[in-house]
Amino acid sequence: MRGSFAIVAAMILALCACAPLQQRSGSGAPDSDTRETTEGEAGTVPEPATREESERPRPPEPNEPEPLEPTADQEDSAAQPTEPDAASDASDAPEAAARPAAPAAADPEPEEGATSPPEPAGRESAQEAPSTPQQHDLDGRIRLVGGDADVDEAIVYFIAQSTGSAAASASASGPTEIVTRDKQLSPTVLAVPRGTEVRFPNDDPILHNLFSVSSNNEFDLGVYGPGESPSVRFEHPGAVNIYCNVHHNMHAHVLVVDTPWHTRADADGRFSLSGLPAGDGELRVWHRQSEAWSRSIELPVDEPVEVSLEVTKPRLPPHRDKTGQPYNRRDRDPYR
Amino acid sequence: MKRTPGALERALLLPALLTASTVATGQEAPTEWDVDFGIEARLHYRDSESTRIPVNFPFTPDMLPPGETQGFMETVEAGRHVEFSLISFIANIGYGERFLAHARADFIDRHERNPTSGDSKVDVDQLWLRWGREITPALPDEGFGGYLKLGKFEKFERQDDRHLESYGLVSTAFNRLEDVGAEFGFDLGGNFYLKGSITQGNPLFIRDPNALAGDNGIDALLRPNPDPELKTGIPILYDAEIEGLDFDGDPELGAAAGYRWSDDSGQRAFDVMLFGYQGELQESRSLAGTFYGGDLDLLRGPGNQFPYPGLDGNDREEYGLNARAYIGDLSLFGQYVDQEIAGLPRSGFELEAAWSFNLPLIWAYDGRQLFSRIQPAVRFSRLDNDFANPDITPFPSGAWDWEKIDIGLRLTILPSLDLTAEYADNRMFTSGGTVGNDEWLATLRWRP
Repeated sequence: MRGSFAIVAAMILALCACAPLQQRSGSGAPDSDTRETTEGEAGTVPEPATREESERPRPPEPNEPEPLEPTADQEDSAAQPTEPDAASDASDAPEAAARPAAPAAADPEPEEGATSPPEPAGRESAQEAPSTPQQHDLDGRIRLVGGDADVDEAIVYFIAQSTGSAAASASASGPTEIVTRDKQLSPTVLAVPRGTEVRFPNDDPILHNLFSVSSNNEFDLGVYGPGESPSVRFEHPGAVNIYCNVHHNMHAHVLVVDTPWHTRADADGRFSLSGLPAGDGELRVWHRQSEAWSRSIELPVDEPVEVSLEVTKPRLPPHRDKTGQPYNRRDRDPYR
Repeated sequence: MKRTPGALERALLLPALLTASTVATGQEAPTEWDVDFGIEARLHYRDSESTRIPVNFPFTPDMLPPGETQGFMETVEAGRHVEFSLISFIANIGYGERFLAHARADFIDRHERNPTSGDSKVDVDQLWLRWGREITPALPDEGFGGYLKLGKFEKFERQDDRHLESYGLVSTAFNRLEDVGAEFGFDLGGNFYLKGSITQGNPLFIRDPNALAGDNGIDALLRPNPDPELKTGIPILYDAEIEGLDFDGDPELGAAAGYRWSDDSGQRAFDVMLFGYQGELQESRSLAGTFYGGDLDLLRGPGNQFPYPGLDGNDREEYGLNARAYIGDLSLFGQYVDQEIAGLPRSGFELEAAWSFNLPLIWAYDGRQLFSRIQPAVRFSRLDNDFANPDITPFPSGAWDWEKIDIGLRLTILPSLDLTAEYADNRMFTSGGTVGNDEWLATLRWRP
């Protein structure tokens, strides 16, 4: 038996000598493009965001910074967020743009109501753009292929190529909310212009701790109780994945856009953008469970736009808690 | 008998030096001091089935209870009991990822005492200093780095996320209790890691694998016609609690090599580790609260007159494999250990599966959900003793093969309070047939 132990020891030494002494390589993380809890992020807990315990809604603080005017570069990056999850969307955006045009609709006949598309009732609607001499509408329909996803979580937005007009600048809207109730966040998906303050009222009788480690939009609301309504102002374009540090299944996703023309699809996937400027631009579709889609468009467009998105991601995004610890091992405490 | 430094010692020296260098140079800049103090208390309801097994040891009449003519192994404190088993104080003082000092002091500590009633009621369960980033099981490689730990600490193969209050036979026999010395480890990159240890080595002794260890060798047995309240239990051989610093003997050397993997969320992960130990049994190890000696003294029987057949030398060697996996809310743990103690071979394995189900939010108390989670768990363990009993022995169960099934349910009442109800089904394979020694246990654990 001593001999066998020596063999084991020799094997260990051999392993020691042969194993690559490398820095973190990402091996063993096949979905690293969708990961947002990187090691560095795990070790750096985001700074607490604005905390408010007063009744909601709260007027904007007078000393809060004004939204920045977008530069051309910023506009260009509006749909190319740098946060890992969003980055995958963004990095795919050029690919999507280079793809062939979306397949023709299976039903070439305009959908009923396509000429007067339904409003995405109950959700944020396209922000009213400043009136200009040439305004156009853009209608379309999104179809999801494969997977388990809700089409009405798709966000459609238009980036105008021309930046000379005020119409191309997004301005922050009033405070909006994502409510915590029954250990769920509602709405799950929200699009806001850059600079918008989003409140997170806690309508549950228990404590929550919302946080995000999405690049450029990190925040940690800390633990807050029933009736409290902390808020976060989102200053940087991109997708912000929001989770609760206490409850693994709670999640919401804010898409911060740098354009006034955005909307959500309805339950049938139909969408309508209005007040768009004439000329070239890019139509983008973002769905949290799919890769980003985009297409160059010259307005006006006569036919409804057909978009097909493949569902490639699960409903609950893979994520860890704000310290990088897996939720399913929270009981593990080797020191106790 | 003293050993000269061998290949294993030299083999451990290289990674130890490498670890020290990575601890010194490979860590990120520290952040700030973090001080955390905690407390834990456990209250039990226990219902132990009464089992009484006669032994052939020739006890003299004054060594037996009044009126008895034969000795028995008996269930420890059979029947229904409510008891406080543990109050612990825990302290962690950390400095970023680079340094952590940890202490845990147990009071009462009824389930870890050996023998139950005679051992110290206050025990420094863990006390160690660690430099560097410890290798967390079943999480991805965090880059090249290492750690060094000094003090009294848990064995590196021990299950670190337990779901039941009871222990499996393999855990109890081989790696349940802490050892004293130094441990080091480092990430090799590519998710491979190595660990090593130089420790004092746990004394070999006997205990019942159920909640209470049993009263063996307590002072009360030295009085005429003793009839101790807690009885002997039906014990197995196990690596017992370290009783103090004792570096006179040869150290026990440990080594491990493992591979770990996890997806981005950590919801799917696994870890496989091969490990081994090499040490020597001492002629006798003194344990608090018992006049029986541990190690070879125990294996040679009372008065060194009843040794196990095949007892040879004083080497203690052990190697094994442990594995853990996480698939969402399902967690799996398994370990296999093969040990040889002074020429007596034995082996064992155990497998555990546990699930976690979140419950809907119905009630809340003080901002916390009442009854937030329920976790069923089941564990099977088996111990094979491939050696025979002496012709005469006071505890023949030491050489029996044994199976144990633990099944339980943990309810999270509040984040700091949970209730675990479990049943232990013991099956001992004796020459006269299978014997049971079952136990119900309900544990209310409070960790504010």
